[in-house]
Amino acid sequence: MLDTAAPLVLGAAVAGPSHIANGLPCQDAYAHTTTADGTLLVAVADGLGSAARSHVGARMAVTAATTIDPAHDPFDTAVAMIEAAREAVGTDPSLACTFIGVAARPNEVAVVHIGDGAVVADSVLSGPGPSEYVDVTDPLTASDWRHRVRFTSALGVRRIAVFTDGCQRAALLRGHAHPGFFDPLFTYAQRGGDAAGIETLLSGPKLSEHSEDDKTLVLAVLDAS
Amino acid sequence: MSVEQVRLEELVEIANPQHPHCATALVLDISGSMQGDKIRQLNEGLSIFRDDVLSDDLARKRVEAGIVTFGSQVHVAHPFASIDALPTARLSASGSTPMGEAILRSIELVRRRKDDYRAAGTDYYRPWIFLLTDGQPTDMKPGDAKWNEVTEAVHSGEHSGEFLFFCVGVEPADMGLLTQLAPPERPPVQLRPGRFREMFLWLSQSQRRVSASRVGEQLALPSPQGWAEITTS
Repeated sequence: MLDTAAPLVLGAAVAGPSHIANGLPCQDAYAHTTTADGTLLVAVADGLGSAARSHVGARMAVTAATTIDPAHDPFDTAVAMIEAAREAVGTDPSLACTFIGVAARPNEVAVVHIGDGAVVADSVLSGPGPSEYVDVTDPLTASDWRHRVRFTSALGVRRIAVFTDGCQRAALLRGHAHPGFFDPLFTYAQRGGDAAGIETLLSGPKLSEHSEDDKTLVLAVLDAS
Repeated sequence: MSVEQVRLEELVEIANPQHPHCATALVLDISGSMQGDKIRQLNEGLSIFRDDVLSDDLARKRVEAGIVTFGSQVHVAHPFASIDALPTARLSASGSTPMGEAILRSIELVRRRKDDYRAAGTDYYRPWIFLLTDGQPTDMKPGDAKWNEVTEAVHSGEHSGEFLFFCVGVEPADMGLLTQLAPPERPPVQLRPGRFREMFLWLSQSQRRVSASRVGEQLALPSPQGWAEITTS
């Protein structure tokens, strides 16, 4: 039996400055859990601004996705995550949100993804998707959602970051992960930094300057030993 | 903040420190019939549009405007630039109404602006083309080759999501003709007499909403009730 330490996970979600100014709730949500068999589940969802209860939809999606029983294979687990999330929100447009599900075992990571936001390991595992415009994205509630979901698997992944589009301009340049953004963050996580520090960063001036949107960032170090 | 947290704020580098851009092409009829009150109100309206967008902290960093005029000729009076560069130089009216060519030019302008954004790695919103006319086109008529070309470009562009095409008719514009020209999804509206100011404020308010939006497919625009007639033609 492999003697691997449990994954180290820290995350935060903050309301964006424009949401705060307009009295809107944070429409991002995230959840994570490590199951008894050592599978890490991370779910991140971003409620669409035009959807009346999208903060509720996002919360329902990530809760449903992280309370499933994992399969042996991370890919099957990721599929189960998004099926559970979709079942929770259905086709109700008032609950519309994007969704990212990550299932990680020591040797393999699987990602299931609809809409924007991204997953980065040493490089981008799953990007924001093909949308040309920043104000248009695919929601989990779309009737043809199965045609819009993207799947990615990777081996030998040691660290992952999952984030919503409020962090995209900080994290990615022309679709590539920016080391200057991620290296200090993973170092921080590996040195025992806590989630409060992530929350402070996300609500701080540097990240708010060019993005008024809600921001979620979850960092996971898969083999912290 | 702890020492570690302070260092995180300092150490983290932003990959793409740019605001996403929102390009609006104003396609303006400055033919002879616009002389007098109408051109004066149009000029005032442009200033109002500019000032209102500038008053919005986020929109001023995101909205770009370009102007294509049509009168004696089709002229790119102002190429796309950030809103603060919108000139206060006055437009004057004369000549005929080469509307078809102006529309084609504005579509091309929008396409090239998107190329610029992509080259610079700048995110962008779906661009707007906003046509304002008080007459009938003199460079095309319904059914001729130019008309077909222009109408096809407008309709397919709107339908494919390439841009949003808004069409405003000022008395004595032919609203029936504009209804054929405009995308079926977005019929033209007629300006209530003298309501240029309200229309330009609607435009700036709409741009302010766009620049703050992350909405999925549907953007809720402010009501045009203050300046638009319901057209029955």
